[in-house]
Amino acid sequence: MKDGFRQSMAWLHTWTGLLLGWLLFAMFVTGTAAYFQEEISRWMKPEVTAAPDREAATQAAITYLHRTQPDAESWFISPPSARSPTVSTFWQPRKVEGEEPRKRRGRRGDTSATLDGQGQPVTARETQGGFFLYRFHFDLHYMPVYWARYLVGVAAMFMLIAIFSGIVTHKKIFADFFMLRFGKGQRSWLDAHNVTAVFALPFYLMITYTGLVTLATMYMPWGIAANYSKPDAFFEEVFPGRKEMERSDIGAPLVPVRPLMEVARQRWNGAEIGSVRIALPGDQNSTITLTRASSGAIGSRGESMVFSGTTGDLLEESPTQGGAMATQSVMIGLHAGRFAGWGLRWLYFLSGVGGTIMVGSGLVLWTVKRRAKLPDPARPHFGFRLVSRMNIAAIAGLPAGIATYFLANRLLPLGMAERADWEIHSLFIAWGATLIWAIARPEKRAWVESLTLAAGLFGAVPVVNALTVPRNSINGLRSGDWLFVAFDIAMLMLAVGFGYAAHKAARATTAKPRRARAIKEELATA
Amino acid sequence: MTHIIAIALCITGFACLCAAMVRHQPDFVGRKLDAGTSRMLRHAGFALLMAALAIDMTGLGAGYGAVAWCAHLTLGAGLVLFRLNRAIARQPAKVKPAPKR
Repeated sequence: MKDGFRQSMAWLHTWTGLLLGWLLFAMFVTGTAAYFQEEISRWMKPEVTAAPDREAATQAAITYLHRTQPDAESWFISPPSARSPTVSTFWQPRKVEGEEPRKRRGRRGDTSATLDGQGQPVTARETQGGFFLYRFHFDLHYMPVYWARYLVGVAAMFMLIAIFSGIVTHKKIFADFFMLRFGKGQRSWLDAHNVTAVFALPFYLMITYTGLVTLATMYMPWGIAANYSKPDAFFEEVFPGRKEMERSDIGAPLVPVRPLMEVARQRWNGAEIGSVRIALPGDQNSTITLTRASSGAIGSRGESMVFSGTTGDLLEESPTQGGAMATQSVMIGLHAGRFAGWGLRWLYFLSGVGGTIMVGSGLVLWTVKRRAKLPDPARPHFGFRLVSRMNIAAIAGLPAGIATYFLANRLLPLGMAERADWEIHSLFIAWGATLIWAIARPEKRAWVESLTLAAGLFGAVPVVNALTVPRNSINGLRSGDWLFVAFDIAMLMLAVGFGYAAHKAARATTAKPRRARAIKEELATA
Repeated sequence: MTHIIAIALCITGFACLCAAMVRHQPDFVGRKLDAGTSRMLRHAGFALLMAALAIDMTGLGAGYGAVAWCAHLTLGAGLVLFRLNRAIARQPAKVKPAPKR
C-alpha cells in the first residue's frame, strides 16, 4: 500500500512537473531576475546617474506636475530610493461630464513621466528595463493579461502539487541529503534535482504559496461574490484610504511636502516614504496621502497617513491591519522581497537560481529516464521529441533571449520608433530562433550549440556595453560605480555557467559510446 | 555582520551533520567514526543550526531573521556539499568500489 501511494505520487510529480514545466522555468528565470529589477533598469538607462535627495526630488516633482498637469484629478509620485535614482509620476486626468473615464491600460503612455531630482523629465533611452522581466513573471507577453494570470496561476498550483508529491516521492530526504554523484547519467540528474530541491525547499514552498496569494482574489473570487454585490464594494471596504474628496472649486496652494514626509518618517520609525498621492491638487479640499515604502518592513502594504493639502494637518491614519490583511501583506512582501537588504537580496536571488536549476533538471530528467527505454533510440516517438526539443528552447533559449534583450538595449538606435517594444521583440525573436534551431538540429548538437549561444551572448554583454556607453567595469572600479561592475561580473558568471553546461553537454555526446564499449569489453573478459 | 556569523554557524552545523553520516565519513573526514562520535556530531550540528537561528533573530529582528535563516541554511548546506564533492573528486580512483559481477 505504501509503495502504491508513493508510486501514484511519483506519477503525479512527473506529470504536474512536466505539463507546465517550461512555463514554470520561464517564471523562475524572470522572477529571479526581477529581484534585481531596479538595478537592471538602472543598467538599461545608463544616462541616468543622479541619486537625488528624496524630499527635494519629491518637491521638484510636485512643481513639475503643478506646471504641466494643474487640472488633474490626482497626482501619484514615487520618490527616488536607494535602488532607483529617478522619480516616477503618473496622474489621473480630470473627469469630464458625460465622458467615460479612460481605462488605464498596461502601459501608462501619456499620463506618466519619469523625472530627475530637479523635476525635469529624464532624457534616457526608451526602455522597459527590469520592469519588463518583472511583469513577464506573471503577465507574460503578447496575450491578454487576464488569461496570462490564469495560466500562471494554474502553473503555480501545479508547482505546489509537484512540490508536495515530490517530497513524498523522495525516499530518503535525510539519508541522501548530501548525495550528489557526478558522471552516473540518470542517477546524477536525479541527485542534482534532489539536492537543488531539498536545499532551498522552504524557499520554494514559500514562493509558490505566496505567489498564489498575490492573486488570490482573482483565483478564488467566490468569497467576495457571496458577500458583496460588486467586487469594488469589497475593495473599498478593505482599502478605506481610497475614498475621494469632493471638489470645492476654491483654489488654494499646496503646503510644502518635506515637513509632512518628516512627520511620517518619524511615525514609522525611520522607514522611508514609498509613495505620495495628491488628490485634487490646487483645490481647497486637496489631500496628500503618504504611504510607507515596501522596503521598510516585510509586509508589502505600507501604512499610510492622509494630510490636508492646504493646511498640512493630519486628517487620517490607516487603521491597524486585521489578522488576515496583515498575513496577506506579509506573504506578498515575502514573495516580492522588497524588504530585503543587499545580503538577503542576493540570497533570494541564489534561491531563485536554485529553483531554476531544480525545474530545469526535472525537465531534463524526464527525457533521461525515458531515453534508455526507447524502443528505437535513433527514432524516438513524437512525445519524447517534443519534450526534448522544448527543454532546449526553454533552458537555453530564454536565457539567450534575456541576454539579447540586454544587447538590444545597447545596440538598437536611440531614436528608433517604438524602441522599448523592439527590445522586447528581440528577446522573443532570439528565444523563438532557439526553438527553431532546437527542432532543426540533432538533439545533442542542439543542446551544445544553444548553450554555447547563450554563453556567448552573456559574454558579449560587458563587451558591447564597454563599446557603446561610457559607464563600464573599468571606469566603475575607478569611480565607485559598483552597479556596472556587479552587472558585468554577473553577466560573465552566467556566460561561464552556460559555457560549462555546453562543455558538459558536448562531453556527454562522446562519453556515451566509450562507456558502452568499456562495459562490453568487461563483459567479454568476465 | 550578523549574516556572516550566521552563515559561518550554518556551514559548521551542516559540516557536523555531514561528518555524522556514516556513508560520507570516508570522503569528508577521511575515516569511519565510531557511533558515539557520530551521535555527538549530529547533536552538535543541529545545535549550531539553532544557534544560527538565534543569532539571526536577535541581530536582524524576529521576522527578518527567520527569513534570513532559511536563506543561510540553503547557503550553508550548499557550501558543505561543494566541499564534500571537492573531497570526492580529489580522491584516487582506487577508493571507488569494484563493479559487482
